[in-house]
Amino acid sequence: MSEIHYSPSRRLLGGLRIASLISVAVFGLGLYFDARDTWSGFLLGFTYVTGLGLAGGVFISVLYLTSSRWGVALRRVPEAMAGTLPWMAVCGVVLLFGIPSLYSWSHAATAEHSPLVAQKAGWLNVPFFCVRMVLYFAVWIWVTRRLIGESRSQDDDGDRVHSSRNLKNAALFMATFAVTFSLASIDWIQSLEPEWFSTIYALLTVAGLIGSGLAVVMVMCVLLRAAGPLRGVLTDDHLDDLGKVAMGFALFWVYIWYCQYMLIWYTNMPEETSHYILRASGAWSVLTPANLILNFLVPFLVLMPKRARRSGAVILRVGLVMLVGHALDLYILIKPPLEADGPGFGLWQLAPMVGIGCLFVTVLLRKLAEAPLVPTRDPFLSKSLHYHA
Amino acid sequence: MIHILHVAVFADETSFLSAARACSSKEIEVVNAYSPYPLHEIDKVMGIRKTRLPWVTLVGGLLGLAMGLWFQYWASATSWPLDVGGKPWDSFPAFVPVGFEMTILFAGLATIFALIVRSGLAPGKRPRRPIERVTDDRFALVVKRKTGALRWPQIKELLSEHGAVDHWEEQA
Repeated sequence: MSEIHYSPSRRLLGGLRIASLISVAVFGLGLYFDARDTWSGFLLGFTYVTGLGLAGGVFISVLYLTSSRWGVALRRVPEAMAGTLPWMAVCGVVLLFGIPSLYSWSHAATAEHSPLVAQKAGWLNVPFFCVRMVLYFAVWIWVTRRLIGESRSQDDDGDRVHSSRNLKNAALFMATFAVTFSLASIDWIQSLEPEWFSTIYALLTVAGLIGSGLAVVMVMCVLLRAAGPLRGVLTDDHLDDLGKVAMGFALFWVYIWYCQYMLIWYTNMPEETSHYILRASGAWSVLTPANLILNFLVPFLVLMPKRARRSGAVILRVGLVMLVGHALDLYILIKPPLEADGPGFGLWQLAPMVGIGCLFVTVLLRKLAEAPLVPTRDPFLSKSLHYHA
Repeated sequence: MIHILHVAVFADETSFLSAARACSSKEIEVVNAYSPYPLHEIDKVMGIRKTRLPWVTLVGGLLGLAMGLWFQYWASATSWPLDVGGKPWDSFPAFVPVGFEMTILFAGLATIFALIVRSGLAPGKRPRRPIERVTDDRFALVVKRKTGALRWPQIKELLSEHGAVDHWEEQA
């Protein structure tokens, strides 16, 4: 098939640029007026969008590792998502300046009052936190660049050797991602409550990461199909399969969520229950049911009938609901330890989220424009184009 | 009532599908089709209705969920209340895992049994194949004439035109 190219409209890119510039300005003001609120928004946006970039890597790797044919036609979307990771590394460096506002373990006074935090000082200290963040991003960017590079090289020569090299890269990504992201989610989010721990925490954040990443793939596929470039390439069968995967991961997310909740509820140990007591008190208690509805019930029930999964409009809307749901999920994880009296959300918190979101969309669109929108010479492409769900 | 069925054997997928399409466009009912591997298009040509099996799965799953939750409530809160870790007798969070497993078990079993019953499968059932080679390298169409449609000689001619390598009549 001939090469399809996409180019984002100037108006769209211009709008994103203006929105991100305004966000940066408000972010600066926010640091002056309410640093903790502003940094909590930055942390949310940063973990959200880094998760999307990593989810792109997971999606590509799973396609290669399982020799999937169906997803080859839409692989450029997760490749573009993974291509945003270098920019997220920049955001990560910015986040390092927010450590004193966000993490209580970074204050010497906390360790003096809490023997538990004092014991963890070997891991939870500012220099090591910075080193680890650099290390995580170094690994992620290195492996995803190899994955994307081989895939794009295949566009030029059509050599099968790129597919087999990417099989190894995919295995490398999954193995390193499992370890590094587990640690990253503990570093960035779980350590907001330095006395609390959960051994299933990384799995819970990975489940949310995959769900939100799938939502981006769903939304982008529907939009690119409706706007033209992928019309006639992506069929209802592709949407059907994306819907099925999303439904499965919605179930996986709630399964892991419940695993953590039930074990803590059952054993009823004070050092573990603190996490849920905080989130069940006052106005916070409304958010958890909303979280379960948006991230589990909506995708699971709406995508159950085959006809719904084959409709672009339904896939798009469910994708958007899942994206909002994931933001709420991260909000529930991040905000309560920083603001115990009740959920608050304002301009200071919104601005960095919008700014990082605009950065992500801009880089995503530019990465999509860099290479043909379909991996034209992938050996499995024709299988993907004529796929029946 | 005795039906006369016409069986046509094909050597390749293309002629098999084109014959099936020709039959359905000429009001000849395709009663059955045999192929060594799945062909998605044949479902549409034969006018097979969408499966209702998912509904059985849904009802089975909901039944399993309801029974699982009810039984745990009855056992631990009504019939033989036990204090476990100071939790209330009817502790819903403790019932969820078993409720979940019962949903899957009932949904799965309901689906497989409904499939077996509706397809008339049973242990020891002998397979009905027009020829043995449909599991290897042959395709077969079984067609029935609708009233007012083409007559037998014309149907035979049509099938041969589309590359039938063999055909015969059968009573069913």
